[in-house]
Amino acid sequence: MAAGLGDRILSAFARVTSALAPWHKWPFLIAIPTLAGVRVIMRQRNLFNTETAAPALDPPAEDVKGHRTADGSFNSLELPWMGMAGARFGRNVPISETFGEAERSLLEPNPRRVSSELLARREFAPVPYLNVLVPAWLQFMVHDWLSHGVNDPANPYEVPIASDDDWPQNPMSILRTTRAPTTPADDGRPSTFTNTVTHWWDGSQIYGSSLTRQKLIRSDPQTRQLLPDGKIGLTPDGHLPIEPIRDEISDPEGAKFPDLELTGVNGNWWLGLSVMHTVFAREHNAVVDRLKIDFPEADGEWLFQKARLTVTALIAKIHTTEWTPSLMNSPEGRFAMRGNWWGIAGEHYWRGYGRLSDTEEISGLPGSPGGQDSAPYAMTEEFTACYRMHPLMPDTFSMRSHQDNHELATLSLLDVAHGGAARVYRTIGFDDVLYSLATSNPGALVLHNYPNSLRRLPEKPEQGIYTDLAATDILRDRERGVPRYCQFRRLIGMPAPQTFEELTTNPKWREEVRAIYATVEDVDLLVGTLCEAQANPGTPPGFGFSDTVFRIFILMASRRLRSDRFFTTDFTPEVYTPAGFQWVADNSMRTVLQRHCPALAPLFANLRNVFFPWSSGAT
Amino acid sequence: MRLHIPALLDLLTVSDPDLIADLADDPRLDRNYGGRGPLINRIVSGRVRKALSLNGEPLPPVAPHGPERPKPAQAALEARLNAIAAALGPGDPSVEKLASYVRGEGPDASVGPLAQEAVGRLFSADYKGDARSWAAARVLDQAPRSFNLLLVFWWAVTGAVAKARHLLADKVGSDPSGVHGTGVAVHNLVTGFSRMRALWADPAARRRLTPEAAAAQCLVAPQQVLRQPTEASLTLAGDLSPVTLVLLQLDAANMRAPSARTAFMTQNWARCPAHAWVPALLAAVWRTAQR
Repeated sequence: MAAGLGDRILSAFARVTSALAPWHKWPFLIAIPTLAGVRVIMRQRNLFNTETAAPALDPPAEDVKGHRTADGSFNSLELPWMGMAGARFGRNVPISETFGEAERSLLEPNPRRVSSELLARREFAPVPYLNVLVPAWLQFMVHDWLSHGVNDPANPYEVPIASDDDWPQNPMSILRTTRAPTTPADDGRPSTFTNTVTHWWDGSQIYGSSLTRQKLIRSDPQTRQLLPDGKIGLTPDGHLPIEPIRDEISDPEGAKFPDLELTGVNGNWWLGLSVMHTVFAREHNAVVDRLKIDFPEADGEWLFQKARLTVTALIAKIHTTEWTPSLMNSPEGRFAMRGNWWGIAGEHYWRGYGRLSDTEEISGLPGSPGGQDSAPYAMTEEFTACYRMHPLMPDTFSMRSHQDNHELATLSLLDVAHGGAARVYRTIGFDDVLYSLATSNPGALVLHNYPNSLRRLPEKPEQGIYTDLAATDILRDRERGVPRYCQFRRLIGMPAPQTFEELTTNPKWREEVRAIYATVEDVDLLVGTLCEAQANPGTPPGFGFSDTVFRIFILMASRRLRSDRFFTTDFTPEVYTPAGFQWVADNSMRTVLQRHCPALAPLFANLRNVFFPWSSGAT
Repeated sequence: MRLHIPALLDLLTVSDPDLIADLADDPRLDRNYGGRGPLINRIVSGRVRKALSLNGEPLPPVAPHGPERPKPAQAALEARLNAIAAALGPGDPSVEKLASYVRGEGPDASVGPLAQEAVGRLFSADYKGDARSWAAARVLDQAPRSFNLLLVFWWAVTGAVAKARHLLADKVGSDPSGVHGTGVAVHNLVTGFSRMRALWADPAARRRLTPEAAAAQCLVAPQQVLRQPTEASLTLAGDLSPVTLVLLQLDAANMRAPSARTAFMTQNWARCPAHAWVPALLAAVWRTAQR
């Protein structure tokens, strides 16, 4: 990829400043171009294609120019397979560095021991300036972007259990990730894995990644008939319907639980996800109602597709300009993310006059010419690894009334998981659920803060089968060839710690980590990034996650927009409809919540960001 | 990237794997290096023709397509190497020696003759690499591409290139593929084993890397191979004239998209007959070192 003059200047600038100090140690006016330069460098060096024999697709039977397809195909008209469900995950590090680890190394150090001694929550460490809508939103997004699908039941990993561990099985069985089918062109290359949902930022967590699933969520909950007006099927009281357990239509990860709510992706379901999906299903239907005013003759299919485009773009905007800035709560973080959407020219200019320039730096990514940089667009394994943020989840939830803040119930994470989420609504109203999440704090991304509920998830408790998600997280990165922490940093252009002393400034953590890992080079990516919370130079000020994962985010967050036709060349009133386009411009998470939960509006009216803790409902 | 200075040079360098595959399949691009075109083009192609030939015939990796592909000798060599690759493992003398080197035994410089011996034994069972044969390999490798004028002058005066070629040829029974393997291609193996030794020095990598992973990280493709259009051609890389020299940068492409297809051009008429043997050797050496 030939770099333009601007990119060459920015990358040279970033190389010089980064050699002297990390970007967040510089003043604002140096930090921002440094970040821009880092992104340019990473676009050239940290995008790798894993597809060796891309599928040839039949010409589309429908008009793919004006709306998103169910499976994500034909977003790119040049590479129609790009980003579709079933395409392989890409990589952010060179392919030759992505072989899964040797079997004897996979279990060294023992993932269960890492889970128990370094990750297990000892005492809940909250993030006081955020609310639990943050992890809910995060998972809402992750389900849009990626899934490795159902694991391979053959030949599971067997993790030895120490004699003093109370784990119910020995060894602990962890299923392998299902490998992508190979062709002769894969000879000599590492295993790859397919993304079972669309790679695009296309709302597939709501709308599904197949036409079958999409029709299911568009069906009337009572009659099971496709709704003729393009809406999503909701119950009369505005809740998601319960998914019928039918093998041929079920999300294989989700539908094995009774009382599970129906949506595009309902695996790993919990109350926070339920809230997000419910709100945005209602938002979809609100957009349909708005479009019907301008297009009274339009059929349901057209209305559905245009509403989907609109809701998806609104979600992307919320993620870019509200959710991420809440976690990157510094002047640089806010500027960088808002700049991704509106550019340096800013929101006011954009709303007043439209784009000032074609360039993404001046006027933002949406509506820019876009591009694929050095590899076809795909979610990556490294991005997946960096989004392992389970410590954000609390183990318990205090459910309270939004009217007077009195406690209605205390529920465990398992109480509100899977079908438990829908059962909560039988006794606690939707507004109170939302209020409760919005006034509680998530956990901090630090060592010893991994929810213990997730470390003993009942898979088949009657057979004594449980899952330790923390141990699984550790094993997954090793299995999928995500480099360990030090090598990972080197491969994305960051300095790596040479010693445990450089890994963390917390002496207790240091000794705990040293007791488990033979050398600092062995430290797993997840452990290393959690250690950054107490390290020098450590996490950027105001950031809820490490600088290491932030590097992957600055690359991939912009790529999700920049690679997508519907966020770039086709982000226009002609494709979205004038009303849909304006809807995206006019709305935010705040207005969405105001529309669907108006009684709660006073509780977040004074907040700069609705992902900050809301005011108490106590009078 | 196209570098075109009239009368001086006209070069196209390509490092994109897909573009390389397209150009390599283009029948209008061949290895029929004519003494034509701008000054530097003529110097480069002339030196390739002169240095990489044996008894007046170009060595196989720089020979034109000709009427028949694959050529019988190359096909036979490929089949033989594939069979050897399938059986490579601990116990093979070259594998054992190279594994010792990877484990840190012997000086860094010892890898040249060791790798040369591993290649040479494919052509002559009692091949022994030594300082002289390794020095000859370095001369033959440098000859087509060195722009050190003093060195080129010295070679011209002493006839060093021809002597090196003869020495290497004598050791492999004048097999042209053997001359290329022990004189030119061996340098990629040497770089690969040096890389492997550095990996081995890292205890974490030593435990973690499977033989296949180590082989992929240590596989070094030819830095570049040369093509020249037989006619004026409009290609995906641009408009080429019959004098343009096209440099297909295989190693850079293989870094971006590592595969036998890229490193050894396995889908192409010019594929390297050692496409299975080289990765198998690298993997076997790592596996043996790990024992």
